This record gives sequence, C-alpha cells and structure tokens, in this order.
Amino acid sequence: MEFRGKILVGAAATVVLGLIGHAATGEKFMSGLEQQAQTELAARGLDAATVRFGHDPLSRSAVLDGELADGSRQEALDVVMAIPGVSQASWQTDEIAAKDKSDDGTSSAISSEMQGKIAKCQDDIDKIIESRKISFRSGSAYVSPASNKILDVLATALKSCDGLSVVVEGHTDDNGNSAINKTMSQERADRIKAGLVERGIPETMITAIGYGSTRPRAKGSDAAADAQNRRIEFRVGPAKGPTQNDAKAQQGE
Amino acid sequence: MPLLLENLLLLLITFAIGLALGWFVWGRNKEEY
Repeated sequence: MEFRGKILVGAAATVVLGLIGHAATGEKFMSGLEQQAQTELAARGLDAATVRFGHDPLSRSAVLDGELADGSRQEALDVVMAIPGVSQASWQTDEIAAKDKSDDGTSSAISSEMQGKIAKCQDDIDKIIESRKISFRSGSAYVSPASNKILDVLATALKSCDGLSVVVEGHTDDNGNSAINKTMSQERADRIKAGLVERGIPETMITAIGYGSTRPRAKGSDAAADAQNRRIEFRVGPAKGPTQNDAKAQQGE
Repeated sequence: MPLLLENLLLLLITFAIGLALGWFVWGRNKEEY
C-alpha cells in the first residue's frame, strides 16, 4: 500500500517536472525549429514558403503557406520533414481540417474557412430572398409590412453570419431621373440596413449602397421588368473594420 | 500531437521503465531472501 503511494507520488512528480520543463523550453524549442525550417527553405530558394508550427497548443507539425509551383511544394515539404524534430509537414491549402489550428493567425486558413462560411451565409440569404422578395413601390422607399416580415427572417439568418460583413445593394427601375434613382436606391438600402440593425444585427456588419438603375436584373421597361429591378440584393463578404463585439457594445450603450 | 502531451508521455514512460528496472534489481531480490 505504502509502495503504491510512493509510485503515485513519483508519477505526479514526473508530471510536474514535465510541465515545468515544457513551460521553460517549449516555446524556445518550437521557434528554433521554425527558424531552422525557414533557413533550410531559403537555402534551396524556396523562401516563398513560410513555415509555422502549431502554437496553441505547441505542436511539432509544420504547416507551410505561400505561393509555390506544384513541383516545389513537394520539395518544400521534404525539406521541412528532413529537419530533426519535425513530426509532420503539410500545406495550409491542403488542410481541410485546418480549423483547429487556424487560431494561430495564419491568414489563408482563415480565408478558406471564411470562404465556406461566406458561401453558406450567402446561400441562406439567397434562399430567403428567392422565395420572398423585398419589394418597393415605384418611387418609394417605404418598407411594407410584408417586407418587414422578410427582414425578420433575414435578421435571424444573419445572426449566424457572425464575423462576416454584408453589403445591402439598393436597385431601382429605370423610370425617371437617374440621379434621383440613385438617391432612391441608397435610401432603400439604408432603410433595409436600419431594419436589420433594429433587429439586432451589428451596424458595422452592414454597408448600404445604392446603385440606382445602373444594374438592372431584367431587361425592358414594362411593369414586370420594373418590379423585378426595384430590388434589394445582399452580398456577403469577409468582415472588415471593428469586430462584432465592438458593435454589440456600441448598441448596448 | 501537442508537444506537451509528447513530453509528458515520454517522461512517464521513462519513469515506468525506471520503476520496472528498480523492482527487477532490488525489489525482486528482497522477495527471494
């Protein structure tokens, strides 16, 4: 019994020793590896590639990033793998499961993950807009009760587009003065933006642009085409400017 | 695998081997005499 206790104490002491050793040397060891990998790549003229190791948590798998020709990509992997201490090497763009590692700030992992998110968000919005169109009366920026209901659904969808930005595009038909149409489309986009902000979407996430009648969807100037052209479109893109939390904080004030 | 886990596993395996060796060299003798 006493013997078993001693073993447990010994094991615990070993774990503590490991933790201390890791904290003291881990970062240094990894940055050493990173530097060495970068030097090796540069020595072979492959310095267009950047090497990063996992930092949160520290890991010996190298992730390469940068623009290289297909042949050189494999060579770069071999070079990095040949360094003692490196356990794995892969290209950022090949990593589908890079999500977990993307926290360390490597830009293209974020962009590929982001692209998926953008596509999903755009798809959600398109589906909503497809079946229920936000419509305006000619010469008016009045948001009808029916359109308000669509805004409710849109706002719910946009809440899952956390960390992205949305451009609300206002379009008009080609009746009347083009300058007035432009103002009108801007006003329509602004109203939609305001409606979404009212429903809890951060203001910084949405940009409203009026295109007037410069980008018609339907050709011709009959009533049907005009009705189609008086519309709002949504374009989802990567986030810009202040973060969502900032925007939420501002709203809370 | 995270570096921390690798470090800890390595140390614990070393500890276990040391323990086994220690038992083999000293513990077993004690039983015999």
